[in-house]
Amino acid sequence: MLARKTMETLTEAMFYVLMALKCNPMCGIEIASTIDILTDNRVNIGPATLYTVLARFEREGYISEIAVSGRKRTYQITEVGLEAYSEELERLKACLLDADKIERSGS
Amino acid sequence: MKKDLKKITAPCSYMDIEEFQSWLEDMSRQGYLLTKPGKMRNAYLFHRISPLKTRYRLTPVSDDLEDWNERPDTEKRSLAEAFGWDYVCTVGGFHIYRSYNDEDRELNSDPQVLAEYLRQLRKKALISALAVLISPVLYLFIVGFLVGPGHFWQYLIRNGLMLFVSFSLLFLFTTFKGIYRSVKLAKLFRLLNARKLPIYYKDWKKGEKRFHIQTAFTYTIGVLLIISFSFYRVSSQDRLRFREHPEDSRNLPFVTVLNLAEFSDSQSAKRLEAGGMVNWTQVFSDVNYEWTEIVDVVSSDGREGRFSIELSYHEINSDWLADRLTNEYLKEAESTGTPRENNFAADVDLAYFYTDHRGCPAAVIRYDNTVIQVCFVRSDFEDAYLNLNAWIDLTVNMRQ
Repeated sequence: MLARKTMETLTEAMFYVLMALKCNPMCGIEIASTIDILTDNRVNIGPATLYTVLARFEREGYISEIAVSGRKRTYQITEVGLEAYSEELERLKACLLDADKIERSGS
Repeated sequence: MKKDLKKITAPCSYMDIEEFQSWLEDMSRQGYLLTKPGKMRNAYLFHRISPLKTRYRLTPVSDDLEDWNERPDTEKRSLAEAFGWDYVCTVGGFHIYRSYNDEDRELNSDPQVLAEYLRQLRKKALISALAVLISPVLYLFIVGFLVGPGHFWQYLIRNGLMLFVSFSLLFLFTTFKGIYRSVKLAKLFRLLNARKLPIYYKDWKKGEKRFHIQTAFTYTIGVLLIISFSFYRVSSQDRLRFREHPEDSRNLPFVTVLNLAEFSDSQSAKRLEAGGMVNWTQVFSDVNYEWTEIVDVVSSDGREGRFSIELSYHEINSDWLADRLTNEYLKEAESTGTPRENNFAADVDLAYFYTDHRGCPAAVIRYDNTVIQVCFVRSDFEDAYLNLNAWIDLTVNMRQ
């Protein structure tokens, strides 16, 4: 069900974009490449998805543009973005712990 | 170069994204590569090439309605190109990209992000459509409030009712378009909600027949509307045919019109030259004129003088509205407590004499969809009654 608001819970692509930017400020292509490496090509973020996410994050104040060089724009994560990333990380950790409990109970 | 271009009509709407992408991919396999949209609706220009396996993807331009026809900026294009996707063109709020390599990653990799983006787009389209839909109603409300309920229909009719109706139709069309887009996008939402992306859909031809029927129906309605409006002409020619009422007798002496002394009309110099009621034709709109005439008269007991006559003339493209306007005028008769008296000429649908709110003798004449209000605002004869039929004879004779 996709009724939830995307910015309340980050999608996988959004989470990885923030994760990549947490490492370093980078441009769109670098973000995509970093996600490829981080996920061992499990997550291949598409260019349209990437620029949609970047535009949305910039509008919501999760990231900010720090440099423009020709066709390349470099972004960095903001405090708001870091907070959102940490919250999502905690949520995912909690999910994993819950799943782990089930696995351990053998059901 | 131009010989290589071919115009082909799409078998589906671009809003049926899955089908549209699949059609473009099949066209590519047949040796037609999309170049740009044609000038006609649903027509697209293709470049003749050797058959080629190609992937096409449509992605929303922006969730901001102002940017619907915008080309992608250089950052977006370079990002897409870096992953093997070439920008082709923009159609109706969607960018079309093409990739020649099956190994290239999807343009939109996350159905959730795409769905969220489209949801914003749909929301704005619907709000905009609804705003457009209620604007004529608001307009009516404001006009009604400003001019007062008693004069509402008079005001509306005199100020271009058909223009108002035309704009309303335009508003309705825009609303319909917004709702149509939302309905079409609903199908895509179902796909995205199932965490699937719109990719090649082999059964895309299933909806082709329905689409052609819908298109033919839309065009037929459009053509019929244009034809109807083209033939719909309002003409005042040969309509003013009143007869002297044989029983129109009163105790007061009659005055008879001798000639038209002055003719005041600020709206139409043409009518001034013609000297009275003239022929005029207006298409797509109602005919509404108001003017004042001063006529030299002589009474049946030999006195000479002048009458000042105010006229409101309306030819209305609707029986219902003509009825409304007639009733508006007749309300004045009721407000002054004058018994309405329908004793006028035979060739009209109805005619009433009454005393208006200024105490002036007045009449409302109605035939077909024409409504005329006549007020005799100044008379040199307090005790005389104008021979209205004679006045009408004069105006009819003048225009012939």
